[in-house]
Amino acid sequence: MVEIHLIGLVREFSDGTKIGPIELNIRDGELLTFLGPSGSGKTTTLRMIAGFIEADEGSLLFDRQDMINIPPRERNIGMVFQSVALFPNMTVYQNIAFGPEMAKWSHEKTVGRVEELADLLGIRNLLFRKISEISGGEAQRVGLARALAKEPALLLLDEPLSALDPQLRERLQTEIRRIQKKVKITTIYVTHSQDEAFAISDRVAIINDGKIIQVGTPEELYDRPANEFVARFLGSGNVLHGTVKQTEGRELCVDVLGVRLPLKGICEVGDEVKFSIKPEDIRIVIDTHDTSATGTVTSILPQVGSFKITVDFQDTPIIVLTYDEDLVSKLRQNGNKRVSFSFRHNLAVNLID
Amino acid sequence: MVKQDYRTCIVLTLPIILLLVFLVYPVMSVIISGLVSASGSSFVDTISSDETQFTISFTVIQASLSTILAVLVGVPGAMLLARLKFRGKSLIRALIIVPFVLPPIVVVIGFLQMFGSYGIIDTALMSITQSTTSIFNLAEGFTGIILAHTFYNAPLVMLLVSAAMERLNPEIEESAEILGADSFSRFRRITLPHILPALLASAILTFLFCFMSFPIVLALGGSTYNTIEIQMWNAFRTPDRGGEVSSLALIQIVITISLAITYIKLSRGTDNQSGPTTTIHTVSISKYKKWEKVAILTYLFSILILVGGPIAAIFRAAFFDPVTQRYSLDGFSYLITLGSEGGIQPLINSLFYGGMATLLAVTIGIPLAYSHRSKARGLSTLSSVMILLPLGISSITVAYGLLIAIAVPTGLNINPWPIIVIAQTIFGVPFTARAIEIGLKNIDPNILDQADSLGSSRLQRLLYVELPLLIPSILVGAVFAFAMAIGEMSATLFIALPQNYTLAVAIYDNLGVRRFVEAGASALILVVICVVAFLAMEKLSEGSIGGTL
Repeated sequence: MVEIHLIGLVREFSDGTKIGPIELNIRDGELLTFLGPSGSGKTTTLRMIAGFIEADEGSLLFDRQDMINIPPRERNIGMVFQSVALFPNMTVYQNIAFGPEMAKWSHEKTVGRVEELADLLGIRNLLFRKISEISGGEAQRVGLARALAKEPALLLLDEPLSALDPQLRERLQTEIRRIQKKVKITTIYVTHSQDEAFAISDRVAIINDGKIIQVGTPEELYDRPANEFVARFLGSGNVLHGTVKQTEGRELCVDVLGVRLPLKGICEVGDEVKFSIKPEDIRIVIDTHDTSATGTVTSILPQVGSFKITVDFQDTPIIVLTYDEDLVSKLRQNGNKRVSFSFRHNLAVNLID
Repeated sequence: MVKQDYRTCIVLTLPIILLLVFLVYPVMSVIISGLVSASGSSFVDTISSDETQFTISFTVIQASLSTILAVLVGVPGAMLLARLKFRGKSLIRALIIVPFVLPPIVVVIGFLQMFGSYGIIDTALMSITQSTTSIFNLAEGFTGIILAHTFYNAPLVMLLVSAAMERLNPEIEESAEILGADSFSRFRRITLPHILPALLASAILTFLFCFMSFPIVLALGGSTYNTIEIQMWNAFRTPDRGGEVSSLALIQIVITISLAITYIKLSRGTDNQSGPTTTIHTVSISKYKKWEKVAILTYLFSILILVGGPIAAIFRAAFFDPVTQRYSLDGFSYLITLGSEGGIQPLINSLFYGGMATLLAVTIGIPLAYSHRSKARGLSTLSSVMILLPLGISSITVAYGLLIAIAVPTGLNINPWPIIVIAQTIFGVPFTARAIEIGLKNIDPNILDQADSLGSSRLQRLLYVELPLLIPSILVGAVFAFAMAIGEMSATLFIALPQNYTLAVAIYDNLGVRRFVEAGASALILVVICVVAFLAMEKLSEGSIGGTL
């Protein structure tokens, strides 16, 4: 168990790509996910923490101790790689026992630890199989057991589930979460899947272009994306523009989809602002008047428990989520394509960069 | 439809019939005449004689020592090749195959010139010590044989082992590292078990080559060192020892075929491993510790002397006469001289026989590669045996078989040039068939289905789609076969009468009568031909000729 501080960590590569500077604290016992598109630098950052990639600048503290010049094998880390990378020339047991063996544990202690983990992960019946004789999902469990065996202070997981089919992936997500909470180990998880990140994490760090864009709980990120990239990447976003105005009561407001909404935050009258509105915060009303405040429904897609409706509003596609089946059936009737918008009561506009 | 399959089958069977007649039948004749001895000593006499027993043990000892040295030299090179990041790496990797295409007799010239009496090192030492007589000679005798075999086979070990290392997923080694394994434990527990099949396969291949090596032992060993091949050659040249030759051939075939089968089994195992999921991590030399840098540079320097030295020394050999101690162009004027003392006839013979053999090897290789990939099981097994058989049978045995089973009954031994071409074809076929087979494997089957769906017949598809796509592989095979044919000395020496001498045989002949510049100049010509061939292959195959081995 350990608290991690990344302070001004920078790495530049000869091909011109640059990581950092990265400032990040990972709390003791939490599961933090690096989420970002492929090529964004999340795996590179993870490999810097592991020690496989050297940092040009900055420091990396494990409980206030700088790790920069310490080789990976002395950092007391457990890691599961994207390819799982089990040792093909050893049995499942030998794989899991490798770490304790390198740490020169006694035989009894090693056996006890391997059995404990095998029970925790439900792989006891596999212990004396060869690696070629186990399935993909089993390999992930063995990889996790191997990484946890020597009781590391920090667990790193580099897209460990990306090669599995969706159902198995979901099952293992739950399992990783359960085991992480039980072992109470500080964990960094890398994924490019938002669903996976939200399902598994205490907090998520969004990474793009080698930089951390925003850190927060899944709810924080979804409700209040800090910028257009996060809003679009998380799909929480209808990203809209508007001009700040003033009501008669001298309060700031902005016109959103033909509706005037109050505005908080640091801005002045006349400012051009960008903001994001979640699809489920928008309601639509069938409106036969063709005014400037109406849009045209272009598609209705049924989803699990809801409908995703796309409305063309002044050449901008607006995504709306609704549970209202009556509304949808009316919309599907001919002629009812013109709609206007309303919002959830007390909705605060989320300004973004 | 049935009729067409039947015709295809005949076309595919033709090369197999040819190989049965010109390879299997002669070799069987040798074996049978070894068992039922016609002249000279019988099989039992031969194998129980002291001379044969000494010969067999020496053959095994020199092959084992050569293999151990080749592995010791090759494995560090393989590690550097797989792990070290440096400029010109792909060039080095391509150059590693050069020793393999160099004719053995040319390597002999290079070794004598580099490590022999009055060679480059000797001359340097003599001038340092003010000595007037030769003081250094590692080229001749036992050391020379072992070193020359290492020169040939260390690159082979390097190539096969580094390929295996690059197949090791780097995340596996990183897993070991993060689990606390230091570099020694990582090598012992992870890397070594992973490369072991490739290491064993390359060691067996090396042992096989050294076991059957003829020109190097003949030219560097003098009369002192008898391997099975040399004893066969000596017995062949003595009247009434035919039974002994056949018996020795039989002993050799039993040993080499079993080694060849082991090799094939092991290399199958390595073929099936999947490629790496991530690109391998290489480290530039500046990241190494000081003592490691010193070790790496020492190693590279030794390799440069051992492998680069003899190749470079061939240039000196072409111009410098160690007998008269002066530089001249005499060697090259020899090469354009007509008549029995001249070099032009051997040069013409080399090109003519080599060209004929290449043409035949390609003609046989194409249907052989097809039948190897054919769905008819018997056909594909038979053809793979045919492709691999020359690997397990020494050139001396093949030559002797062709002489007694084909040349003598047909009277071709009066002017045996067709037999030389047949022998060179047999040694070329594995290379053409293998290269074309790789080419076939790389053709996207969807393209062929596309041709079918557009209504082309089997023949049209072959002519307009498959063969054009195969041309680079056919050319790679052809060039490889040509390089092998032109450098072939053992079988040619065995079969040829003086008017049939090729350049390679003439080099040996000239060495015997101490005409060193003539031999050197001929060797340089062969080097040039082989290097041009190598560059052509490299260009044609875009750097994947290693796979043809």
